[in-house]
Amino acid sequence: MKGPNRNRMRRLTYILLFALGISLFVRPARAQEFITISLGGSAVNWTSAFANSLTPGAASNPGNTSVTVNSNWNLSPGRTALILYAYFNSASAALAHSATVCTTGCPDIPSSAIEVKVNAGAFAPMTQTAPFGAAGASLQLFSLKITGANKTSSRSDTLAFNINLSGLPQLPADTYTGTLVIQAQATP
Amino acid sequence: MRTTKSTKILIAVLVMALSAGAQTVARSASAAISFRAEVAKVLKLQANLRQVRQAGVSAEVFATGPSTLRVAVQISGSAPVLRLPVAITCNVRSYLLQARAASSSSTAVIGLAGDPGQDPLGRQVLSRPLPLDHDPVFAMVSSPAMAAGSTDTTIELRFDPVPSGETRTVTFELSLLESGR
Repeated sequence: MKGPNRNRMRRLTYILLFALGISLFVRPARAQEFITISLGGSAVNWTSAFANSLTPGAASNPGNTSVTVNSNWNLSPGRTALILYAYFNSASAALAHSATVCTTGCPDIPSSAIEVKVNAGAFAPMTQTAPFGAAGASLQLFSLKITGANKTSSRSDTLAFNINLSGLPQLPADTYTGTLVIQAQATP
Repeated sequence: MRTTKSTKILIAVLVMALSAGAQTVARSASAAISFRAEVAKVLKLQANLRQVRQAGVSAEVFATGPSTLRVAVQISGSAPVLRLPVAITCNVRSYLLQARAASSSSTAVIGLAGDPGQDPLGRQVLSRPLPLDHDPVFAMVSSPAMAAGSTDTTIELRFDPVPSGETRTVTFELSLLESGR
């Protein structure tokens, strides 16, 4: 390699070394990034004890209580969205029948019959597909645009629940149980 | 200008370092809410007629509870038959129709009279005609498909012949019960 070319190569090498140093040592402080979710309640009932047992065929079967979701986060620069999801791990049997009462041919309550209302919004069925849970068994509770101003912040949301049995007029007498999971994700 | 081998390696290391620094999604831990929902049991047995007058039979029907009927029947003649139209409302997976005679000396054969082609219950019910004083359970429904609204059917009682010129009174109770299966 002749003199000018060698100088150019040396210059390029210095530039690359500098870029490598930047990438290794001036990266965002990822260790401090977190998202935490806490709930103001852990159970919702539709039972005789709360005088709100399910009525098959009825569109309105409100849960006995609402649940507050508290979200806290400290996100790395570059995050552009924070999304909170609710989901079940089964779309066809979000609330499953009691196996001790019925063993074969027993209907369950699908996630499409479970409706969630966020704050003052409208009830929406759990029919979306999200990064979590079973396909068609989720609902996006909120999607927040993240900027430098709110990359570290918190919020509180109130969830109300309804079981819409207008499509299940023949749901047999039984006890149906399930678990709704709440989880958040920041992207990209 | 040709790129030397050492420069190529340096570029590769840089690309790797940058890709390692690329953002992946960040997720919270999950939080759970348990759901528990009950559908209350409904068992209703209702008479579609309060009074029934048929050849050799005169009956009065009283509701003694949401799932219980008391039937008082006067019978006469050689082949008295009572056909009692009832409505069954039920959302349990299996149930029993029970007939219990107030007097053990009553003799009758009881069953569901519905035409299997017309009577929805007749298609699904296991109807077992039995002497009224022998086994109080005369019909059993055991099908998840029966967990549905109201069904009209006819309960039929065929009594033993009554000597000519005599009248006999039979009282019995009809009950709809969950079979516990």
